[in-house]
Amino acid sequence: MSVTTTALARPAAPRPWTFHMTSFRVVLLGIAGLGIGSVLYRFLFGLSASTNLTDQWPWGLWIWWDVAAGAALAGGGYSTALMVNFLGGDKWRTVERGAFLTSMLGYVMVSGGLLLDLGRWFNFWRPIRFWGYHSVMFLLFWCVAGYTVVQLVEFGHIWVERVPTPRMTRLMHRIYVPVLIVGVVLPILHQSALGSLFIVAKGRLDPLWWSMLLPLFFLMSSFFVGPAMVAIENIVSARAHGRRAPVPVLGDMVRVTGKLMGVYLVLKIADLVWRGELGRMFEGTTASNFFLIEMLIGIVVPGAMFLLPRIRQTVGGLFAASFLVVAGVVFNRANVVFTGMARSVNAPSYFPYWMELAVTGGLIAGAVLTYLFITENFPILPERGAAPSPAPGSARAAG
Amino acid sequence: MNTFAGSIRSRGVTRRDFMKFASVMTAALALPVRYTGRIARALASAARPTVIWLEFQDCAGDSESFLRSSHPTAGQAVLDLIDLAYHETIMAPAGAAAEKNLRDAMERARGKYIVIVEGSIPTAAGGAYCTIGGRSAVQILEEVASGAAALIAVGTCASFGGLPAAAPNPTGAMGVRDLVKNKPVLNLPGCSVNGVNLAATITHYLTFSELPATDQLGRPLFAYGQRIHDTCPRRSHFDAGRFVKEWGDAGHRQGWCLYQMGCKGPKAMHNCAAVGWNDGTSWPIEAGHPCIACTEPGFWDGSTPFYRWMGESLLPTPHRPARPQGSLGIGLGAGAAAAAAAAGTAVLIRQRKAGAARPDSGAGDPGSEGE
Repeated sequence: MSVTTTALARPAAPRPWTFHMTSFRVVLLGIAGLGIGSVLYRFLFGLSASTNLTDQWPWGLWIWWDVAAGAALAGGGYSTALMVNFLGGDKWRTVERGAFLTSMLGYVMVSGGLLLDLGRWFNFWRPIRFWGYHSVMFLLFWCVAGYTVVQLVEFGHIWVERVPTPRMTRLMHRIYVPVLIVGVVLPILHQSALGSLFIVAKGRLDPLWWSMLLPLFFLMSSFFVGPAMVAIENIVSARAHGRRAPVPVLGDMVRVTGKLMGVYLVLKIADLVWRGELGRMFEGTTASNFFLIEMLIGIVVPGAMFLLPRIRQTVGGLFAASFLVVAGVVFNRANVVFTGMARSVNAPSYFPYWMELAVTGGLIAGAVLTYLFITENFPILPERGAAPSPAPGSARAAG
Repeated sequence: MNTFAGSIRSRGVTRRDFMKFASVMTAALALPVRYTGRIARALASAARPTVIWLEFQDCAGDSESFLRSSHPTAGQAVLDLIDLAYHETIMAPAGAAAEKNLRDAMERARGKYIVIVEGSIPTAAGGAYCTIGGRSAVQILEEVASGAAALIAVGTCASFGGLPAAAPNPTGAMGVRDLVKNKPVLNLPGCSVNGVNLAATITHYLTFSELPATDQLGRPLFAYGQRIHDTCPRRSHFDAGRFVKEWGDAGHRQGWCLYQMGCKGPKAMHNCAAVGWNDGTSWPIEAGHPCIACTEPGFWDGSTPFYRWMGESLLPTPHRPARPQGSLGIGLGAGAAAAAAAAGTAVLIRQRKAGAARPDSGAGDPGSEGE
């Protein structure tokens, strides 16, 4: 019963699973329970019973937060995978596993949100059987479903370290690289597909946000929000576990994203100029003010902070800038889903029903609880003084 | 023969016309085409239900609305679909004989007959504003409703009070649902009711043995599930900002949007655009006149002045989603939340106890073990 393990020498016998209960986790359990109850009600009685969605406002909280924002925030997984494994950023490997885990949980949440948003949710399997390949939704479905599977496989690589099953371990190592490649391609496809969904809303979506470049904007923002999410996650969990956050590694990563944000900003403005809509920014309407806030607070300020070494190399500066980027991207998705649509939707404004809030809260609480459980039981977070996680193939379990 | 098919065959209606009627009903009920056969079979075999048609504070406009239809299929069919035992405007008997008809019908089909109510019910001054055969409308309604299987309120007056209930409502006029609480009451508002929708409602009842699904105001969704504004043939002009500014101006002649001329389409729920009026010939907006939202509660006061526009912001009928078993939802959510939290608390307490017994563990940081 007594604890005899050390960080370096893991025992051959499996460690017992642990889940250390705290009052914070009890509260999360309660919220998750409320969410589960609401989900049951929604499945039994349908959308009109459990939401405030109407024919005029068919997309609400769930599409915004669970799907659009959730998918963007989960972008940390593929952008980190790309930077670490394919762009030669081996020095960033310490944060790779954390990014994978957040991303995986994010995608499970996205899939859940999509399922809940389907009017006839029990038909969710139909795109597998009936190929409507002219539809953006078809692309979205396959990429999200495929990428969720990929992420589970990526996590399986970590799983076999904890629960050794030799055949699984060999399989996992053999398919690891192909899976990594697919795991970078699929999100690139579907992040842009999420943007394509709104291309059809030409004339409905405010020209400040509507553009033929929407797929590219969605893709770029999901890419540069990734390292910011990884930074926040590392700083928060380091503080919670009394460790020092790997600021040099993180600061190095966000330097790259800072540059990408610069490109995004230039592209956004060039696009407005080319479409002749630049003047709209200064019209003083709610939409134009929101647009300015989104660009200034969410892009210009944090982008500059990322590019200044003095700021990005401090925990406070890094956290503040990352927080602004994340808030900016979430705000951008809200603007595309709500603000930009409000003018053309001839219906009273939409505010979520309590069950919608309960479901979203429950999804987040469930994801946090799962994150806590996994970090408690698997080697995910960079350990103090420990070497970066070795590349696949080198046997960590033997160390 | 006491079936619909028998009844119309005896009057020389052809099989072809009968099938045409079945397909019109299928379309009005917004059912897939494949239901036509099922509806035709049901209509051919179902026994015609006994119907008692009551008129109170009305103009007989709803009766006129379907009686005047020249189409052999809609208005006439309402009469053929049902065994109309009592209808003051069209029945032959008068006086005591008419009263006897009513009582006989109630005895004969007690618990099974359908009551159609036309006109609002005055409740002020002890119901004195409308009496028939020495009894007040409130009394008659109460008595006839007590033996009914279901009630259908036709027209806005019977549904919500309508014109007689306009301010200052001297007669205390009310709709059927305000008074009859213990029986299913279906509302078919409109000034007047569309005969096709009445026929479709009865067809639904005969085919599926139940009343059609309704919104919170008791209006069947097949007829009142969509806003006039959303099915309007002039909607593209609204979206593009092309409005009629004056009667007979260039825009009016071009068929532009009537919103600025006072159209209340954005707050009216009805299927006018789909079924039309006068045997599907046309309907107000198509004919160039704004919608006056005659199917909505609060018509008349809520719609007047007819030619003043609703303003910059469109205010449709407040969409109150139906939430069946809302308390079950609260119960499910609260129950699951309480169960999860209770389980967590139990584990927490056990952990604390174990931690107190073994001081070296329970530091709160699972990652710090072994350090």
